[in-house]
Amino acid sequence: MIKSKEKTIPIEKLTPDMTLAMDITKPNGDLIFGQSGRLTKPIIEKLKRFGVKKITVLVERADGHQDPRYIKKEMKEIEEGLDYRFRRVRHIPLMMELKELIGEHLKGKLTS
Amino acid sequence: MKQDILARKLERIDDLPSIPSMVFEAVHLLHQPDITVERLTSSIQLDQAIVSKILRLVNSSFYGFQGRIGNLSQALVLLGFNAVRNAILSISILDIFSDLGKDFDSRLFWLHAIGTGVICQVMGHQLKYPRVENLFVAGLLHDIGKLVIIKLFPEDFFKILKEVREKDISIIEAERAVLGMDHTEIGYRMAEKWKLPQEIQEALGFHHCPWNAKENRAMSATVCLSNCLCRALDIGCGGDALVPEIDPKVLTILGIEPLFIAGCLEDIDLEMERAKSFLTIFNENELRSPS
Repeated sequence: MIKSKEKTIPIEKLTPDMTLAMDITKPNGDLIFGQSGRLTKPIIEKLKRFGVKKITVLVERADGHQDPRYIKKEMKEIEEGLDYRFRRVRHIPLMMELKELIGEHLKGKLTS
Repeated sequence: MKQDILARKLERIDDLPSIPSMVFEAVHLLHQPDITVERLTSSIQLDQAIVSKILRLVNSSFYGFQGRIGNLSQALVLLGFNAVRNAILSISILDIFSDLGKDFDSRLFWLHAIGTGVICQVMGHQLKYPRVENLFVAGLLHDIGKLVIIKLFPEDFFKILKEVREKDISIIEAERAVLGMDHTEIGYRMAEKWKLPQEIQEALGFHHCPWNAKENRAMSATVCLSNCLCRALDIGCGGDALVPEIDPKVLTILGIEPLFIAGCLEDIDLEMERAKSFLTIFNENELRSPS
């Protein structure tokens, strides 16, 4: 049953910073994305590739962090740090996918 | 011959202090179905040093009570027996490793340990596991074998760090090259000695190969993935600056897609800020960076 502060919408209407109201799972029960996860543009695109058509989200937006001091230099440092830490696994697709997810999160914190 | 040398090295683990008998008694009592708060309190308060550290911890922002818990009975009622058991175990084990020399960066080590514990807990909540408190303890103690190496084999430990720096290899590879064994085997042996729950013993022993665990493969896999994420997020230091490879079997054991991890990251950030107060169980002179 959907609670009053939740809403089910087509995935095309999703915007970044919306928050899921329930887990998204595959038919076999494997978790694709957890309930309390924050949606971003790249994540929404990935969910579409899983064939997700509708999503139940919380109506209220979560407060974002505001930090106007971060600039491109910080982004470059994040990328360089990740390149360094992932240097021995850069030939492994799963690890590069993980690196991309972490990178999007760290850079997202700078701009939110 | 080599096996004899390894066996003798492992026997030295028996030289390390045991956990105080009060801790075992309290942990045993905490498992009894009809145990009362009064009986537990009277057992634990025999060790005032542990009581004061428990109160310091439970009043830190880690638990969110912010100075409102004034005595042990209150702590037991408000936190629940599992959380108090884990606090007692963590404090007493950390006490054994409180002085590891001025050249070891204990602050960065414990940040990595706490970070792994936090990530385990966040993932455990999202995956709706039972006994999430055990997940935190498993994450916190997953690298305890490294502290045993520092304590018992200090010269070998510095050879290990030298191998890591000069050959750009992981610390576990360097441990195997220098010692002939690694921190997971030693950690498993320590967890056995301390009679920690079997699933935590396995998490310490198999967090680099969780498919080998028998009692609770999911817990070992959670610690494996959490250790990797902690390094990827650059929280503290596990002995090298490398993110280890995650075998796809780990995600299969957990029943998750990689995208699931993205959904945990914001909670990890929030919980990590609170968890840094876990460091309050140390005195200032127990936590140091190399001079």
